[in-house]
Amino acid sequence: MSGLAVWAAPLLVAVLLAGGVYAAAVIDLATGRSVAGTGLGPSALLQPFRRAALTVVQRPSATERPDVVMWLLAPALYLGLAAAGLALVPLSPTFAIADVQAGIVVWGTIESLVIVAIFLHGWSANSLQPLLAAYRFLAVGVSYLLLSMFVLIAAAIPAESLATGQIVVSQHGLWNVVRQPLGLPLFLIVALGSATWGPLNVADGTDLAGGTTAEVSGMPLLMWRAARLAMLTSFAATVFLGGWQGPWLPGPLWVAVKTLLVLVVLAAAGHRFARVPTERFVTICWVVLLPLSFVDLAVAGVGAL
Amino acid sequence: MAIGILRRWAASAPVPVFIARGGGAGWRPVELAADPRVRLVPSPRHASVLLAAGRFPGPMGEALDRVHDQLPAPRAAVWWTADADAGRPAALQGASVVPGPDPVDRIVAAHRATVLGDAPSSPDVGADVPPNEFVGLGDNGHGGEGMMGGVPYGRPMAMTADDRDGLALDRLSVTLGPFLPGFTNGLQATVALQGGIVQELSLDVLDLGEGRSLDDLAGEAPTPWRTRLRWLSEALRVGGLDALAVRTARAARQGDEATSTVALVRRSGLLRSWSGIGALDGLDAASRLAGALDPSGPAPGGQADVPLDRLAASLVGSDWADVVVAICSFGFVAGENAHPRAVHR
Amino acid sequence: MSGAQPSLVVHGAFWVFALVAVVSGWRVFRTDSMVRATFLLLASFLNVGAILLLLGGAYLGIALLFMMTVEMTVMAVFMVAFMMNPAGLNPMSMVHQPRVAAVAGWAVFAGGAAVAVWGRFPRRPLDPAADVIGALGTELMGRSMLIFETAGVALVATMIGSVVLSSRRSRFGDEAGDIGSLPPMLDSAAGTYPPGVVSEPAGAGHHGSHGDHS
Repeated sequence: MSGLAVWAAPLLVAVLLAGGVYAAAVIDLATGRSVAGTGLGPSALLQPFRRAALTVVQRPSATERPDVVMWLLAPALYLGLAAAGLALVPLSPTFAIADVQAGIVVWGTIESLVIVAIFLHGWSANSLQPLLAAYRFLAVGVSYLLLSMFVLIAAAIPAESLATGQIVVSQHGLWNVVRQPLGLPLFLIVALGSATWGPLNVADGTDLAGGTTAEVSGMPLLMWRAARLAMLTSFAATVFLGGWQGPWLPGPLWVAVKTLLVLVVLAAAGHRFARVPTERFVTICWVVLLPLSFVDLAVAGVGAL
Repeated sequence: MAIGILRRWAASAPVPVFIARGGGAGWRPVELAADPRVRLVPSPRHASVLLAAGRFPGPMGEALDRVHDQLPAPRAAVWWTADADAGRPAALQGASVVPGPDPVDRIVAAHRATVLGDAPSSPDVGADVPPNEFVGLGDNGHGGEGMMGGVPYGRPMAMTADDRDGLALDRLSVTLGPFLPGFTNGLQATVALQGGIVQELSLDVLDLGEGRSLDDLAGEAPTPWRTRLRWLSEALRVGGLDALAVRTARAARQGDEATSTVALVRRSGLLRSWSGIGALDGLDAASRLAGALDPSGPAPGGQADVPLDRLAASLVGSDWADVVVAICSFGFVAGENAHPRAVHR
Repeated sequence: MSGAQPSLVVHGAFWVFALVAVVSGWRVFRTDSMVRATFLLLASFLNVGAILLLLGGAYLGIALLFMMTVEMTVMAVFMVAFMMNPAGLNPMSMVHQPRVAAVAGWAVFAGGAAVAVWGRFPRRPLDPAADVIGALGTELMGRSMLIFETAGVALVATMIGSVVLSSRRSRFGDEAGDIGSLPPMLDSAAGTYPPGVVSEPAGAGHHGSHGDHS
C-alpha cells in the first residue's frame, strides 16, 4: 500500500513499536519519580530493561483450568492492535506504513478490539479479581468507545476523507486542536481508557490486587505491560496536532516530538489523578462527555460549511 | 552468555516485594515504598520477594503459605519480626529473619541470591492440586436436571424455581484477605458475591498472637501523624496513585509535615472518587480520608468505634471494589481488645 | 486490485478466512461456555469482514469488523446475564429444534452453493482509482437516505425502549424491578424469602419449560 517491500513494513512497525514502548516506559518512570520526589537520575533510562529482564526471568503462573488459548492470545492481540495503530500514523506527507482509505474507521475497530482483548485477559484466568476487573472495564470501555466515534468523525469532517493522511493535510492552515478545542481532551480520555491508564485504570487496578494481571507473571506479563505502553504511544502518535506539520524539522521528527509531548501529558495524568470509580465514570461519560462530543461534532460541521 | 546478562540485569532491578502484614506489624512496612531499591506490588504473582512482617500464628500462617506459593520462581521469603522463636510458619522455613529496623538490605540480598542462582528458590509449601474436586453426577461432574443444577467443580449450581424467572445469577462464596491491598492486619472477609455485588459479608480478624510490635523493634514510638501518613500511603496505592504513595512513604519516614504531598492528594480527585462509598454514621470514605489529611485533626483511635459486624452489614449490596475502599478508609485497631473494632479516622 | 486475476496471496487468504469463518461458526454450537461461544462467533464475523476487504469493500469490510466487535462484546455480557448456565459447567445444548434447523440449513446451503457454482456473475472489476467510500456516502445520503434514516431512527427507538424496559423502575414501579433478580436460595433449608419481598411471582406458569431441553 505504501510502496514498501513486503518484508520492510513489519520490520518498521516492530522498530517503531519497540521505540515507542521504551519511550513510554522511560517517560512514565521519569514522571513517577518527579511526582514521588525521588529525583530524576540517569538510571531511569536503563530501568525499563532491568524490570523487563526480571519479568522474563520469573516463571509464568498457572491457575486452575484457565482458558489457556485466550489467556495467551489476549496480550498478543493487544500488542498487535497497538502495532496496527502505529502503522496507521502518517509519518510524512508521502509516507504512512499502512495508508488505508478508511483509517479513522480502522482506529475505531482497534479501540473496540482492545476492549475485547482486555476483557478476555481478565476472563480467561478463571480467577475472581481479574474477572471483576474485566467486567468493570467493559462498562468503561463501551462508554468511551461512543465518545471516540464522534471525536474521530469530527476530525474527519474538515478533511472530507476518512484517511489519516488527508486529515493531517486538512490541518495545513489551522490545526484541529484550535478549531475543535473539545476534540483533544476527549481523545486523551479515550487514550487513557484504551491503555487502562491512570484515572481509567479499572482493568489493572490495585484495589482488585492488580486486576486482570493479578494471576499473570513472567513473559505474558511482560507482553501485557509492553502492550499497554504501546497502546499509549499509538494514541499519542495519532493525536491530531497537525501530524507531521511544523517548521524546520523533517516530518517524522515532528511526529516523534509531538508523540513524546503527548506521552508526557498522559503519564503525568496517570500519576497525578486518582482512579475514577466505574459508576462515576460511566455517569460522567454518558451525561457530560457524550453531549460534549456532540457539540464537538456540531462545531466541526459548522466549520466545514 | 545471554542468560547471564538477563539474570544480571534482573538482579539489579528494583525488587518487587509483596508485603504480608502480620501481628504487630501495623502500617510500618508500608514505609518501605520510600526506598528506591524496592517496589511494592499489589499481587504476589508480580513479586520476587515475600516480606512477612510480624507474627503469623495458626490461620495467618496458613494464609501466608498460600500466598507464598503464588509467588513465581525464583522467589525468596524474608521474615521481619522480633518474635522469630514464637512459631515459624511453613512458608518461612527457609526465610532469613530480620530482627532489626530495616529489612531492605536483606530483601535486596535475598533477591540477588535467588535470581543469580546463588541460593535456591523457596520451594512450594502446599501440593499443586485444585482445592475442590470435581464432584457431582455424571461423567464430568455435571449434574442436576438437564443443563442446570448439580455440584460441578464442588460449587453448587442454581436451579430455576417458581419464585424466580431464570434470570438469577449464582452466588460465589469466597474468602478474601488478609493480605489484600487496603486490608489491615489479619482482617479476613468471607463474602457471598453475586456477580460483583456483595450479598453477604462477614469480617473477622484472625489471631495475631502476642508480642512486640515492629515499631518497638525499631525503638521508635511513631507520632500519630506518622502512623496516619503510613496509612495514607496504602490508601493512595488502593486509589491508584502509586507515585504519591511513594512520596507519602518518604514523608512518613522523614517525619515531616508533608504539606505539599497533602495538597497533591487533595488535587488528585481521590476525595471525589471516594465520596459516597462506605457511608456509616454520617461519614463516608471521603470524609474519613479528609479527616486523615488534616494534621491538626483528632488522633486516630479513641473515636466512635464501629463493631465489625455492623460495618459488614452496612456494606451488603455494594460492589466489591467499593468494599475494598470502604475497609481501607477505616483504621482497624485489632488485638488490643477482645473485640476487634473499626475506628473512624 | 487490477483488472487481472487476483494474485495467489489473495486466493490463499480467501480460503484461509473462509475456512476459519466456517470452523469457528461450527464451534459456536459445540462450546458450553457462553463467553467462548460469543467470541467464537466474533471470530467468524471478523473473518467474513476480512473477505469483504478482499473484495474491495474498503469501508464496508472495516465497518463490519467494527460493528461486529462491539455487538459481540455487548452480547457476551447479555448472554452471561440472562442464561442460566453461562459458564458451561453443565453440558449445554445450544440448538433448538435440531431437525428443522438441519433441514433448513442444508436447503439454504444447497441453494447458495448452486448459485455460487452455476450462477453467472458479471465481470466488472473495480477501477482502482474509484472513490469507493465517496460513492458509498453519496448513495447513503442521496438516493437511499429515506431507507437508512428510517432504519436508524427505528433502531434508536428500539434501543431506548429496551433500556427503559430493563431499567429498575421499568413499567411497574420501583419494587417491580427487584422481583426475579433476587439471589437464588441455594440452600432450601434456609427457608423462603421474607414476606412482602416477592409479592406475586409474575408469570409463574411458564417457568417449567426451561428444563426440557434434550
